[in-house]
Amino acid sequence: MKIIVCVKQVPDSSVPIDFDLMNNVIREESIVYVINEADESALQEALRIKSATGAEITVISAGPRRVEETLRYCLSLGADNAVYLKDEDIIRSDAYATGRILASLIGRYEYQLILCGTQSSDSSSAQVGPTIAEFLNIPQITYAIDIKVDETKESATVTRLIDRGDQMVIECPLPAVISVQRNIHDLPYPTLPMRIMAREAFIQTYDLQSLGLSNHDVGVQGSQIMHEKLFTPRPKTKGAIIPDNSLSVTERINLLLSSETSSRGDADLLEGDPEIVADKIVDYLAEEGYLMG
Amino acid sequence: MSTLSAIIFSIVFIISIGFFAWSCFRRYRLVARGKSENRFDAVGKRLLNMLVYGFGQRKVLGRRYGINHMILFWCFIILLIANAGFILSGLFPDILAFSKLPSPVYKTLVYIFDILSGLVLVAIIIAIVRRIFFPPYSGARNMEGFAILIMVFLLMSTYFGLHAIEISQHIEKAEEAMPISNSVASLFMKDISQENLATYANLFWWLHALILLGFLNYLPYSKHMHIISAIPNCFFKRLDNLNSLRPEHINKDKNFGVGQVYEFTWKDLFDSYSCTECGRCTSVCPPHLVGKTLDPQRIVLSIKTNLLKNGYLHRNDMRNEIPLIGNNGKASISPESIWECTTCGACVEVCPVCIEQYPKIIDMRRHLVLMKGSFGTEIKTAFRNMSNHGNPWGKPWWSRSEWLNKAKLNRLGSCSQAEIVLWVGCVDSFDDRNNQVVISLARILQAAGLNFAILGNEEWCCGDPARRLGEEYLFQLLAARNIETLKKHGVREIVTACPHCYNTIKNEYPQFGGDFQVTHHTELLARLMAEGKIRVSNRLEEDVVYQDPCYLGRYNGIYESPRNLLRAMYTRPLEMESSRNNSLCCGGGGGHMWLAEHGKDKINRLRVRDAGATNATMIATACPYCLTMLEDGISDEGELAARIRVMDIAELIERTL
Repeated sequence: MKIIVCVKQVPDSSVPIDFDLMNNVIREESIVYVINEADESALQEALRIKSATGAEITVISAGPRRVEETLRYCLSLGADNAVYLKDEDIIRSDAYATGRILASLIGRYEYQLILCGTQSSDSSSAQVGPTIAEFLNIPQITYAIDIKVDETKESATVTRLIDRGDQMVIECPLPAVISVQRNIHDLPYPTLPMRIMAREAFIQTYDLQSLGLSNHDVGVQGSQIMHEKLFTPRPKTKGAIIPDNSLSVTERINLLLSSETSSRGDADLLEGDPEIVADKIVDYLAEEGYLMG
Repeated sequence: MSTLSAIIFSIVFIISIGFFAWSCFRRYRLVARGKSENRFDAVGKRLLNMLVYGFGQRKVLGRRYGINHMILFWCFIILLIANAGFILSGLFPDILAFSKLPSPVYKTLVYIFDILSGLVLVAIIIAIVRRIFFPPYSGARNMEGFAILIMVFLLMSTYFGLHAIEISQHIEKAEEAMPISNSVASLFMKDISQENLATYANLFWWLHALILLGFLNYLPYSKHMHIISAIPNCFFKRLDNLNSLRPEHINKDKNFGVGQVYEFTWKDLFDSYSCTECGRCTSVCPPHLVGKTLDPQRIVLSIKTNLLKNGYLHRNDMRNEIPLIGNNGKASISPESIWECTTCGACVEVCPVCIEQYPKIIDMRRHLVLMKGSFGTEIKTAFRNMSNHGNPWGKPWWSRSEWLNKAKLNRLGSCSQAEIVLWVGCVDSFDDRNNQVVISLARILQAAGLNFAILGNEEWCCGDPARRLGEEYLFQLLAARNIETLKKHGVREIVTACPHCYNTIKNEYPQFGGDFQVTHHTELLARLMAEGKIRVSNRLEEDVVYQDPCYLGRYNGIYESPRNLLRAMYTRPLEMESSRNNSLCCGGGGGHMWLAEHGKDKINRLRVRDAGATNATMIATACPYCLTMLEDGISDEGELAARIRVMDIAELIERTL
């Protein structure tokens, strides 16, 4: 069995990033790059399958040179091969461009299972896995917390997390893309012999040309989503109706306490067949003017 | 003695000596399978250690009943001559015997033998009584312990029996030089006929001979192997204070740490032979004192048991090998106990036969971390943090020198021009409470007119927690990084308020080419005070008690500087019951500063109760781990929280300036 695990290198989100307030830029050297947590979970899930039934694991990634460190880390945890597309611009790609590029990279390899993290801790689109599946035209399962592979039936039984802590078990034919939730395993720690081995291991490197892609396929040019501006969001506050300002503080507090809670806005819940729901979403986005071109 | 007896004895003697030699050789071969390690350098120093700790019984004497052992030990050594004479006269009757010596010499000898044998008998009776009624540790009433005591008791009884009979037979030329044997003769032998006396003489002679040879052959199979191995073990003692751990060479295709008994060095294995099962190490072990599973004596004995059980397995039988680490009975060591050690070094300090307990624990941690990757998430997180952010908490590395913002110091110079570089350390850098210590220290140094600098955000964790928790590779990366930084800035002299940083930089960085002159802040402050650069206004009445940090005291022998400072500031500094080299750990060493402590009682609470017992209102310490752990301990001990505070000596000095 051959498993491909897609991993992303992200800034360590457990620590703040240092800003140069004089020049209004991030101090690049303050960023510590680590493997995306959910991708690490995906790799651990692949390793678990490997130890149970035997499998060959190939980790793939894309990005600037520093990404090699993350791939070596994956090798030290027990991945068998590492492949990466070396490109400086790819970090500015959206999920569409990233998924497309990764799919064309994956297309060069044999696979029965493609695993990735549900979402990255930096851009959090949760779209790369599904995009890869679409480009490869294979099934996808998202938010997985457990995967059981049956090689004879060429299928996987996946437990996925759905709303309010409910779980859903799905069986799906292989090959498929499965995106894995973060923190479903204990923190891994590579052994020293594996780290030494990984330090010198061969990493298959591609560039855009070798994949038949060009600069137009990556970064802002290759992306479908445009960023208008980047800002730190304010903490979400619960919407509260501010009572009449002419009342005294006590009266206003009492009014707030006594008032009934309102519903969380007027959201429409779309239900039905995924294809139909997708069409409805596209219609809605077009109506509201979010789609261009 | 007839010729026939002599021939029979010769055969018995040769067989038992042969068996003894074979037993020793078998034991030796197992030790020889351990990894190599040079313990044959500096022979002069080693001989001195052997004299002081082996023959001088220095650490044995440190405890009650130690004198009893000292008497047994020395009497035994002298009585070896008597026993050699006894055996020679058995092998060559009437040819080789002490009685052939000139009369005054003979009389002196037998007088000494007689008195010493009496002393041994008394000491043995005391030992038996003690073992029955006042056992020094819970398992002291064991068969093995009594077996050896009874054997020695019988050996001495037959000695007196034999000589009393010879006196009664009137064949002893020097009966007046044998007061005890003489009394035995007049008490018990008066009414026995000469004929019976001859039979008894034979019987007692053989009894004595057989017990003696039996004793000899029992040694290699019992804890009394220490009679053979303890003295050489003192010769092989580590020559430093055991304040640096052995570096691992990071190469390909190598096993790191110790996961199997043969991965220990031969000295580690020899240590296990030397254990006398006296229980001292366990009695001072902080995790043991609060009811955890760690028992240093058991660790040493498990190594021995594992070695003996696995060592004689046939090559084809290796699947029956008992793992060293695991929960497989007496021959294996539980991982929990391995993680509980705080590396305080009390076990090594107290061991009368110079066994090095806790470095073995670190070796096994190395195996669990580097080879197995199996250890707690808390520890993994600490390692990740040290590796990614340069401190065990995972605070951003670029915020390391933010404490300066609240310090209100004069501008610091650059490291290359400073007289001395202040190594702040992770705890003093990132912990709010310990920020105050480094701020106090920095202010004192500026007040004393010292030109010092800090490395700022370029300083990373010294690596102490990584190394003590078994992550030798991470430690070496951190050490290499810091050494490079220090060299880049041309740093020669370093002062630090953290005994762990102090020990690591001073004693462990030289292993990687980092030779710096390192001073602990209490040393520097004591020097500045002696030079008159720091002046304390007036001595305070407050009852202050000093907590010796393990890595300052036991590891580096610094006991006086902090006490001198306290004596300059306080009229009467107090001492806890266990202090200086017998001080009790705060519970923060060995990486435990970053691990939650579980269980009913806690080491830090135990220690603050010790401090509370002195009625002090202030605990002075000189270590950020101690400060944090003891403050936590005090807040857990509700009653003490109202009356005791903990402060670093630097803070106390700043208050009195």
